[in-house]
Amino acid sequence: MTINARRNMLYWSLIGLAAFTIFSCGARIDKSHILVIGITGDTDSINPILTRSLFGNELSQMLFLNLMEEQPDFITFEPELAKSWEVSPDRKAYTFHLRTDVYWTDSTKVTADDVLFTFQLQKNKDIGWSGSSSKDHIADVRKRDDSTVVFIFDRVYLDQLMDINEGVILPAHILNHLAPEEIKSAPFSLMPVTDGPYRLKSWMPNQYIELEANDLFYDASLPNIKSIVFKIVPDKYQLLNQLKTGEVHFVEGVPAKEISSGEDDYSGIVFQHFPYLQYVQIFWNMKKPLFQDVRIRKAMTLAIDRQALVNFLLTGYGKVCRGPIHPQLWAYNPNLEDVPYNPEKAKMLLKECGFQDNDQDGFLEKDGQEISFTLMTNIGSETKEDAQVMIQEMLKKIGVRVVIQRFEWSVFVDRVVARDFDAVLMSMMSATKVDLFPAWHSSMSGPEGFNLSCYANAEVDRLLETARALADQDEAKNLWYHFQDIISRDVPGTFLWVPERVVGLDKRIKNVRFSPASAYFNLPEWSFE
Amino acid sequence: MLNYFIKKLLSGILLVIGVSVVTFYILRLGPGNPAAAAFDPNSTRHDVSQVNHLYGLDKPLLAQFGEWMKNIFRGHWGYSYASHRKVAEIIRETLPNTLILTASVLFVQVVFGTWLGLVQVSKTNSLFDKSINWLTLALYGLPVFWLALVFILIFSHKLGWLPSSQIVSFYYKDLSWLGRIMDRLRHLALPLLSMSLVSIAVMARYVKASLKEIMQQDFIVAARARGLSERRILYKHALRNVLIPVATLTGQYFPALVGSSVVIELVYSWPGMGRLIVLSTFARDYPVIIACTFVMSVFVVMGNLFADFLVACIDPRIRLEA
Amino acid sequence: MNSIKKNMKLTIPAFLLIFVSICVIFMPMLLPEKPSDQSLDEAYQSPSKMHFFGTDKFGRDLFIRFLHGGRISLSVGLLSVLFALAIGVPFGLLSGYKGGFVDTTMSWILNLFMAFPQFFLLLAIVAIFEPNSVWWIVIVIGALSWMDIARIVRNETLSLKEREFISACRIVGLSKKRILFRHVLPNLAVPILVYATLMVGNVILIESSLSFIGLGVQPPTPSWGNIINEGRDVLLSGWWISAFPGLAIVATVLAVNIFGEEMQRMNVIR
Repeated sequence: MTINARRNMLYWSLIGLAAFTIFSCGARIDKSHILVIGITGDTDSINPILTRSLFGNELSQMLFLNLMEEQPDFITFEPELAKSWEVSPDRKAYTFHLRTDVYWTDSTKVTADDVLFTFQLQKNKDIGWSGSSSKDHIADVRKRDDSTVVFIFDRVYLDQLMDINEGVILPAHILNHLAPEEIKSAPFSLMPVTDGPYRLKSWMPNQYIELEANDLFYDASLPNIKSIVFKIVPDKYQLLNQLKTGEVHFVEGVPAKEISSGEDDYSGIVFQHFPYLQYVQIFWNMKKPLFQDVRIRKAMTLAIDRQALVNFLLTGYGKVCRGPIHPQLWAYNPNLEDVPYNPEKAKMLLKECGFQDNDQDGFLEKDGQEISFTLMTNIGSETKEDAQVMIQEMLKKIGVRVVIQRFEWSVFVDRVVARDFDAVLMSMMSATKVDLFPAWHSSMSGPEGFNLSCYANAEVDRLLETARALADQDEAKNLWYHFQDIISRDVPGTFLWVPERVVGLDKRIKNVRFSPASAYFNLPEWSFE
Repeated sequence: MLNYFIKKLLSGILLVIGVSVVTFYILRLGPGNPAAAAFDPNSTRHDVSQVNHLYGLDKPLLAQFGEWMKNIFRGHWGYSYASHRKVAEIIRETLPNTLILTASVLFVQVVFGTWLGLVQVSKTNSLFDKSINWLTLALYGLPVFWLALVFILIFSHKLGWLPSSQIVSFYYKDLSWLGRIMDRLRHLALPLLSMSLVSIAVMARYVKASLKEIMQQDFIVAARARGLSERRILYKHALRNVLIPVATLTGQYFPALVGSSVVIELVYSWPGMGRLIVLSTFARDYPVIIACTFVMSVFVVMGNLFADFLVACIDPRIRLEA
Repeated sequence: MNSIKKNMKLTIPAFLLIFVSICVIFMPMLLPEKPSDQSLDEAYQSPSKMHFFGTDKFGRDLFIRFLHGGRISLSVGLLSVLFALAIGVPFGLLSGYKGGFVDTTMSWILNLFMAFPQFFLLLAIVAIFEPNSVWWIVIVIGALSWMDIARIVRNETLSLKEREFISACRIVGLSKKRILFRHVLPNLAVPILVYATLMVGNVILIESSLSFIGLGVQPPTPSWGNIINEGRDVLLSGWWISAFPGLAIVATVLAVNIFGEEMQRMNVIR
């Protein structure tokens, strides 16, 4: 027995020793100069022409150059690849003068050919670039010399510069001999040749994306932080915990309640917030008989306490949204009339429509038919799921039964596209371009359009058609203001809130500025203290 | 013996084909399509029919399946709808990670499970036996994900001993070979621990039950009659025989193991097939889902074949039967 | 019968299960609150006399949700198993009793289903078809877990077929149907019951794993699995949210397992 016991002791001490080595063997490598950014989802593709995700586009901005840099006011532009540009008197030709000191990471010069090639690729139907509609009115791109290109338009409108600038410039000499099908599997799509402030060091899908400073970048002083690692941790609770322990230095999209409830746990972390180009709204499907009556739609809006949603779900990091145009955009009408929370008025409106609680079950009926509808949203967003539950309770108070529906993303989108819902609670990123034609024009009620409420109003149609074609900003502004007034009267949708983006970052990181479109707006200028 | 295996192998191949046919049809019958999953609320335009055409989704189902089968044998597994990358490449990246995880769990399970079972039988009704009995029973009822969460909370966030996500550190490439091994082990530790505790419990209970049965059998009684020590009987004669049920269980348990690896891979951000199939399901990424199911079925069938093979090697009676 | 009374390993889990079932079935009828009733100013309260199990982020009473959730979890467990039995038992009976070509084909189908990486397929199906209804989950889990039962029934039938009393029935000239349902099936009752009991525990675990991934029973309908999941982000500061349903799952599964194993042991002895 003693031999046995001794042997057992030997085993256990061996196991203990092994465990100790594993635990204690943390690497002794200097990581202090590396910025680790935690994200919940990998990019779908590194190749800017193939990516359809928000993060993929943000990544493209770090690796590649646009002709110009769009400013956070979404009107003005700063030089980037183009050092200057001029417009022809008829505003149909835009001439760009490219910098001559920009090189791809394989030391090839960036020239007008790259701009031409990129344009052709963007227009190519077999590629299916997600932003291709921005190039609809660009008739041609011509090369004048190696550093000069001209964009020719077939019409004049407000957002011509924005449409030119959409999409980053790609290297022609790498891609021009490839067929569209081959581009997907080209080495470029895994390890691209780039011209931006950063180059890709390595990509371990669903693990890490490693960027390092591009030593050929035209501005030799940038970027300040030479190494960036994107660490992909899909579980957001885990990600927040890693922010607490300092394993990651930067997380965007922190749930607002983390700040109020657990700020003490985050030593060495500061939280910042900025207005974000997102809005959350409910679309009432006007193809359903229930929502054809404007009084019903209005009653729903009156009964939803949107300020309570903002206070409770966003703990104040956001504000009630009044209309279809995001407050960060120039066309937003600040004097738009709001529909304040008023459940009594909502009840009256419903009574006016003939709804009464005859069977005393707390829900209203008309002709024996209970007033009830489904409110759909997608799985995966806690805020929206919580909002759904709260709205269900709010409407119950005025006697309306709401049935909650949740679908995972692709089924959700299928149903949205087919307009197979009563009401849908949805969050969308607002485009930086003010053009609400795809969202509210009556011709956009089919599967190819974004008129989710199937709203049809001849006056609105006319406004949308005129406003998008105007070349004068003030004139356009008037029309957009008028458009917002009509929409808030007709309530085809209830606009719930515009959130602020909350970012948690290491106190050592300085010079951070955000744009409502992205938290990584000036990433190359960030620095460690 | 050879005939027996050829027969088994053939039925295995048939099974794999059957499995992929069924998967293919079930997936395509469901609502939701990949063109919609690629829908992007940021773009002002999306053209479902165009994407459908791009991916060949407008062809008849049978033709699509025929094409897919043909391509499988030619080694073309198609492209992922979500990431545009080669499916074969994605599988090649993720499969080893799942295999590392499941193989380590299997190893730990067999070694510790058998050991626990043996010790329990050798000390029947002792305090050790009883407490292990209750412990394993309780582990049966624990949701694996809950265990994983608790471990992360304790070992990673409170104590800071072990990393709670990823498969290696980002500075992995800068490490020495010893450092790399250590780095991998550190990242493997928590997933392995949370997954194997339940598997060990399953195995220990199974071994214990089988051993008890074996200890009643004639040849053990005969050995006792010859005056061999109980310890010697257990470790020499019974152990050899308990390996047969152990091998069978290991083969049968493999699909369940792969199943629980899904949750573990999600919690620990482990880039394996389990996480891949969940992400692909959400994105309705058919080529990847089918490939995952296909590859995993091959492994399940192979696992069973391997178990049969092991059993045949250990147990001469089976050879005679065949 | 006497031995059953004395056997603590059978009586204690049985009483526990009955107790849990009664609580879960009848208590919600006595308590007027609905599981979805919110009161936002009472959010995140720890257990007290007012709220036995505390409240969650909407100020919903977790005791009420726990009871309703248990109803769902246990029903999912029971119904899935019943569904699996409804497929597995006839399948096994037929395959085992007919023998020959029928058995070969049916065994192959059985093997086909066993070769599926079950949880993979379960995930794919639940995610692709609408996961919103509890029925779907029951059907899918049931449809993917009948194979073990079918195999057990088949093997038992095979061995029963050779037994003298069945041969006697055949010689007497009883119809096949009668033999199967009057004489074979009753003899299978105990192994089926044992396996079904163990399976209930397993299904409860599967449902909770699905809920954890976000593909199980959809909130606001509570299930033990999704209440645990809802408490995930406040595992420390709001421990009571996940703890009680977690304990309930462990206790139920444990009781079910002890009960099942003990029955099996007694069956072997008999």
